[in-house]
Amino acid sequence: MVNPKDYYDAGLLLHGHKCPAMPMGLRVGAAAMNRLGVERARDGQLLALVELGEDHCATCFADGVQTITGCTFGKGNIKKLHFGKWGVTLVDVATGRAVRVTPRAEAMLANKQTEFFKEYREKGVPASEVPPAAVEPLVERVMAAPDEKLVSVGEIFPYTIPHRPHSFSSLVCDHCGEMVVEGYARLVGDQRVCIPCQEKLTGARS
Amino acid sequence: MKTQFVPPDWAFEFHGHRCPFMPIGYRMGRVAMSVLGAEREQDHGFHVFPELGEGHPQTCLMDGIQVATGATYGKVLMAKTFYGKLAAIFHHPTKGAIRIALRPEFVDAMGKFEFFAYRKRGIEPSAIPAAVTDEVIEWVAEQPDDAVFKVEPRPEFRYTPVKGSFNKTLCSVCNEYVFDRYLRMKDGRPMCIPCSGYTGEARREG
Repeated sequence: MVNPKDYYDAGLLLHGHKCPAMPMGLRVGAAAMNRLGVERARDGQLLALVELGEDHCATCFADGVQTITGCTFGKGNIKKLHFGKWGVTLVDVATGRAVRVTPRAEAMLANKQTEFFKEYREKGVPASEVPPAAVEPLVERVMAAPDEKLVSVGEIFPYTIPHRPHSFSSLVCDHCGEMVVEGYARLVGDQRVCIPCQEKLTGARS
Repeated sequence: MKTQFVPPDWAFEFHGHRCPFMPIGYRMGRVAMSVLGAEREQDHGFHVFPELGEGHPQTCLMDGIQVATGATYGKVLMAKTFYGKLAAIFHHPTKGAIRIALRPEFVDAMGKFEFFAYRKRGIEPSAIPAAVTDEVIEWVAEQPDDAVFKVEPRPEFRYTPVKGSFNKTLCSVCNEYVFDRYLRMKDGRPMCIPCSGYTGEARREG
C-alpha cells in the first residue's frame, strides 16, 4: 500500500508552493495505485491519463500525480486528455489493468469555498504569497480526509491502447476557405473554422 | 572539473530511476537560471519550452528541468515544441529568454557508454546494473558546461499566453455545457470531447 503522506514533502519540493491541488493529486494517485495493487513506476511501468486541460485552476493536481505514481512528464507516461476535469485513469502497462479515480465533487467544491481561493487565488495572489494560516488547514484537510470522503474509485477494467481509424471526414473552414479534418475544426460563433483561424479570430486556441 | 549542479537525492526518487538524462536536464535548468539570474519558480511565471518530442530517447531530461526550475508540468509551465531536438528555451517574465542545446560532440561521446548498449536492447534504466549507470552519470558530471551545452541568448523570444474565455455552448448529444475551446465538431454538430469521441490528439501541442 502506498501512503500519500510519505510523498508530501517530495511533492512540495517539486511543486514549489503550498496549495490543495498538488495534495489532491497525491491522494487520487495513491487511491488508484492501491486499487490496482501496483508500485510506483520506476520507468514506464504505469501510464497516467489525466483529464486536465491547460488553462484552468488546479492543474497543480498533475504534480501530485507525477510525484506519487512516478508517471512523469520526462518519462512521457503521463498524458492529458484535455477534458477540463480531475479524473485520473491509471494503467498497469504490463497487464493492461486500469482504474479511474476522481476527486469527489463535494471535496473539490469544499476546497473552492475557502479563503485560499476566494480571498487570495481568485484575486490574483500567487500561491506562494498566501499566508500559511489560509493554506495549511486546507492542505491538512486534503491529506487527512478518509478516502471515501475524498475520492471515488472505479472498478478495474481492461485498458487497450486506443487505435483510432483515420478520419475521412473533413470540411471547409468558413474563414480561410481551406480544407480541414473535422476533428481539428473549431467553432467560433456560428463559423466552423480551422485552428489557425480560430486563433486569428479569438486570440485563443484549443 | 566537476559540475557544481548535481541533482538532490529527491530528484532521483521523483524521476524513479538513475539515468544520465535527468541530471543533464537538471544541469541545463541550473545553467539557464544562473545565466538569466532567475530563482526557482514558486508560482507561475517561468516557462520552459523543451524542443523534444515523443517516441525518442532522452526525454528524461525534462524531469531534471522540472526539478531545477520549478517550471513543472502541473503548473503548466512546461510545453514541448515537438521538434525532436535536445534543446530547450527558458523564458523568464522579467529576466528574458535563452536557449540551451546539447552539443552533438557531447551526445556522440556519451553514446559510447555501455549504458546505451543496454537501452538499445530494450532494457529499462531501473534494470541496468548500477555500476554501468553510475559510470556514465559520473562521466557526464566531469564534462565542463561549455563541452555539454550550447547557450544562446534569445532576446527576440516572446511568449504570449493563451487568453481565457467564458464562452460556452451546449453539447448537442449530452446537452451539457462545454467551454468553447473544448468544443468539437462531429457530423456537423457541436459536441463535448467525450461525446465526440475525439481526445487530445486533435489539440495542437506547444
